[in-house]
Amino acid sequence: MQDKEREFLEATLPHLDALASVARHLTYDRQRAEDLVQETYLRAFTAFATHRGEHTKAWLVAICVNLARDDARRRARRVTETPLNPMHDPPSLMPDVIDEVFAGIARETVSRALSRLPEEQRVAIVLMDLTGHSASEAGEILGCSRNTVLSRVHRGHRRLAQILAREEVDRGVL
Amino acid sequence: MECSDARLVAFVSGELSPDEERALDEHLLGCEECWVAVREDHLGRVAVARLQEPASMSLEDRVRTSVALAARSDDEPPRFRGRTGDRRTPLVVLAAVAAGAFAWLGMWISSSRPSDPPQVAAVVAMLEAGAPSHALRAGEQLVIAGQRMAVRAYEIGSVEVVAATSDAAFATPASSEMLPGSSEHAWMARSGTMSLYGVNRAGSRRPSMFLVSSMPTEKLPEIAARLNLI
Repeated sequence: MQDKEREFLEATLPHLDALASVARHLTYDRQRAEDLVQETYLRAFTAFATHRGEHTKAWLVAICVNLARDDARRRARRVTETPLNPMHDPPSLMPDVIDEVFAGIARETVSRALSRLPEEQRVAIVLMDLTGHSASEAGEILGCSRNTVLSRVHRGHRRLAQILAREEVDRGVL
Repeated sequence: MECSDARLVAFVSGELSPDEERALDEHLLGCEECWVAVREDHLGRVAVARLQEPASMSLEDRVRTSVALAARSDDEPPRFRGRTGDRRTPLVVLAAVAAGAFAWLGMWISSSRPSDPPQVAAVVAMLEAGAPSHALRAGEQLVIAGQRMAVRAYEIGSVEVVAATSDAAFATPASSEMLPGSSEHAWMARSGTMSLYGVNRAGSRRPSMFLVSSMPTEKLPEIAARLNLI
């Protein structure tokens, strides 16, 4: 293995879980998500010499987010995607819904609900909750202020909870 | 205290001072709207926590392999020659390697035959690796260098033959010879001790294909016909 390759892998592989998580929630397609992670690593490898060595995770995630956006733009030009179903007035959550109900919701259900959020809220949640970025780091990656990131995360959490509550009501759990 | 979205956001993000937090707590006792917002935020966090999941080992293998290929191409960029105009940068060509192909690609990396397109080199390496696996005999779906392809091994008269098919045309080795009089771009080539015969079908419903075997090249069209590939 070449020195450059070893150095690159040592610096970047610890962040693979974070990259996989971001890609998964940006694409919602296993194959595309894995392609996106791989392309991110290849781009990062070619640019590694110019990387200053700090904030490697944020650097990788920024590459990933940009690639995903490029890909989304290409797809948008090629096909007219069916818009997500508009939300029909989700019920106001009862404040006394117990945490255990939400903690027990199937991962696929949460993932599906997350995919229904506006992209800016979804990405902000993924960056802060799933990949552990600070609001400032997420703001740098997304090109917005940290307060904007926090606001998007908050609105995203609320909307996610509303979608899931509605599903749980429909299933008769709530 | 007036209701304020900005203050709520700061509260759920843990950014209020202890005094501000106490004041908001008191406000929440009397404001149903803000209390619901705080509960919803909390429940959203609880739900998102369900999504923590490590990357699969196969993804790590895939990343390692593609970086190894890219590192190799830094020294000696592979040459690609296709008839269908599907030219890509080496970076993109190196993208997307299926988990099943790692061992063979590892061999390809070490065998250093840069003139072969990666799809061809990978299939040749599969055959050179020895007796094909059960999975390969049953047929495997792979993505090699961004191209989806089906690969299957056959034993014909005690000689191993591996057939690759794809909806997209295959890039051909630099040494390949186009067969005259063919409207479907048939080609033949040698790669080490292996013979190759392929047919690229642009705009056809039938897939493009190529065969790799140690038998003489001129026998391969007949084998392709027997396998119903041409």
